[in-house]
Amino acid sequence: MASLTQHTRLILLCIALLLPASLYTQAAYSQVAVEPLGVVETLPDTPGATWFWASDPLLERVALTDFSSNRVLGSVDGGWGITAILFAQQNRHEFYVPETHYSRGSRGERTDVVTFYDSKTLAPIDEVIIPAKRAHNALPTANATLTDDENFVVIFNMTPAQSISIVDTQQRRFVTEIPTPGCSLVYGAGERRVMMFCGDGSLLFITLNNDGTLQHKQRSAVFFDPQQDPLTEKGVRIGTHWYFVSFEGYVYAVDTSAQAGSFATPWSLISDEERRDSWRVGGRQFFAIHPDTMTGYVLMHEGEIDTHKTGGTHLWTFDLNTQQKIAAHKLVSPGFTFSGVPTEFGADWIWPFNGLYSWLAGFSFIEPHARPDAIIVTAGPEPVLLLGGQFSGMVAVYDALTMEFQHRITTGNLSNLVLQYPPVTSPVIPASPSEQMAAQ
Amino acid sequence: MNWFDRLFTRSSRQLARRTSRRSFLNKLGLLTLGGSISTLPLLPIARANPATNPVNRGEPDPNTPEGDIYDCNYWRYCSIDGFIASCCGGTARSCPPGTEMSPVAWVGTCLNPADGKHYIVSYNDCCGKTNCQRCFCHRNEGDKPVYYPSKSNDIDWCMGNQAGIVYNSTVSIVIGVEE
Repeated sequence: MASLTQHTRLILLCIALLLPASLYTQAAYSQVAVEPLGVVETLPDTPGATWFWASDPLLERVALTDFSSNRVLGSVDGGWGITAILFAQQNRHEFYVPETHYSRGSRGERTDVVTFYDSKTLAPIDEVIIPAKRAHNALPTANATLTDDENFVVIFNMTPAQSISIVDTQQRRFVTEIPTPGCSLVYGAGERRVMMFCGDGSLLFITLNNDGTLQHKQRSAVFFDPQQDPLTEKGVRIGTHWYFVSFEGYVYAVDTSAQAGSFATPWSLISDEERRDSWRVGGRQFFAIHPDTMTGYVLMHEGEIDTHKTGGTHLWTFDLNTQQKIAAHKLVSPGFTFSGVPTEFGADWIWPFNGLYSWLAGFSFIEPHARPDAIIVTAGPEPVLLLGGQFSGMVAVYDALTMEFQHRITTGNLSNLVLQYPPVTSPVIPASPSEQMAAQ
Repeated sequence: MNWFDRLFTRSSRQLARRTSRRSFLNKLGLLTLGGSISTLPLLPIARANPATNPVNRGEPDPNTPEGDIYDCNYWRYCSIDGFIASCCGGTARSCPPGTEMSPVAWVGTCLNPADGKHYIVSYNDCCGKTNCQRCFCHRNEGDKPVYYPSKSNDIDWCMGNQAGIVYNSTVSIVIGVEE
């Protein structure tokens, strides 16, 4: 009995020593508190530097994803066709989405509208109905733009008669329609000024009055031959300049600060030797520029004539100031999704098996339809290049300075047709020629 | 780039040069199905039957890709970027049921291998129902940017009709011989 008592004492001592820890554990894992219903998240006041938007015409939406955390943050619905967002740089509380809707889904009465979205709630806060004429095509951008003063949304119409519709963003009303026969698409080119491509190889500059009505039309000289070597519509704007690349890989810089535009001498991205090897530019969104370093990024492939819309197998970088090629990089596939679900596997496996998916997905480059055809580059000292395509909801993330592949992310889309990076830097607003003249 | 990368870069490029459109999927299909039934191709399927689909006047043999209206390599499809109506319930020159053919279109010039002549082909879109999603064909010969509309296949040509701009597929109609 004496030994049993000692044993019992020992157990009681152990219990006494462990009891506080047990109580602490119970306190730490107490039951979950009752939570309120109906909570809906909002986004921060300013967009994150690692956010981007990807448009999906099949789901008729644009998804917002953080490419750093690989988290989807929200989405906006866009109606029929390819939806692209117009981001304001000064008034970041809202953004604008030109949309087309039918009263019976894909049929019935057509309504075209510019929807005003709250940037924090991603909820529609207003809309302006516009003529049901807005152009529908396969382009990622250039079907609408904001003027630099952000007071007007300008929408390109095609019925097939060409015109533009003007929407006042301050008074939230449709202003007018301006005929632009022979000229298409629309690019920002000044405080209340836009630029359009004309079929003869010239540009049309349109300046608006303070109320959004037409002030002035100015046609540029013909500066390229659309029959011999047309410029692709996929331009990139840096300050007062628009940069376009032709089918044959020549860079055209357009200075919009001149009254009728001024044009630098075109230069070739492709050397004679590379041209003999059939290297070509190609893709839906094949061209991007890092504004801080003026590095140009171009999706390239080996192909015959008329492959200007074929996606890339490689990415070439250029110093746009010195007009010199920097490097060529073989691309890693963004990967594939099945009904929006990523198929990537083995990223955390040990080497070399962690590269198995990339190796297998790399064979898809043989099939032109499965090549990535869209890139965007973020701004700032540590730029990131995002690589995607219409064949997949996945996006490859690269360090844009070293072009080292980082990881893959998923937007939830079935198809990433347009990639957009919202402005996070201060705007560069050039004075339009009419304003310069007025100041003089 | 190490020797391993160079090896695969070279072999991939050579493969890309050697192989034709969609042959990768075809071979993948063969690999998936296995050697025992390797005579059964997954893609493209030989749909044309000479017994029931005789050679039309002036057309290439329908048992060849250039004569098969279900094949992207069909001669008239030389400037298409879209879904070919043949695979969506229509034919090379007629739209699927319930759609409406656009009255406006872009035009291309295609070589007919049967007679060696170049024909002017009108690519009208079939409108009023959502994307067909079958037989996506992306050949783009002579395609021009959107600001050159008569030669641009990036434009949704479902305009000026009752059905509106909802795009389903595209037909390829011969409207003349290039002199």
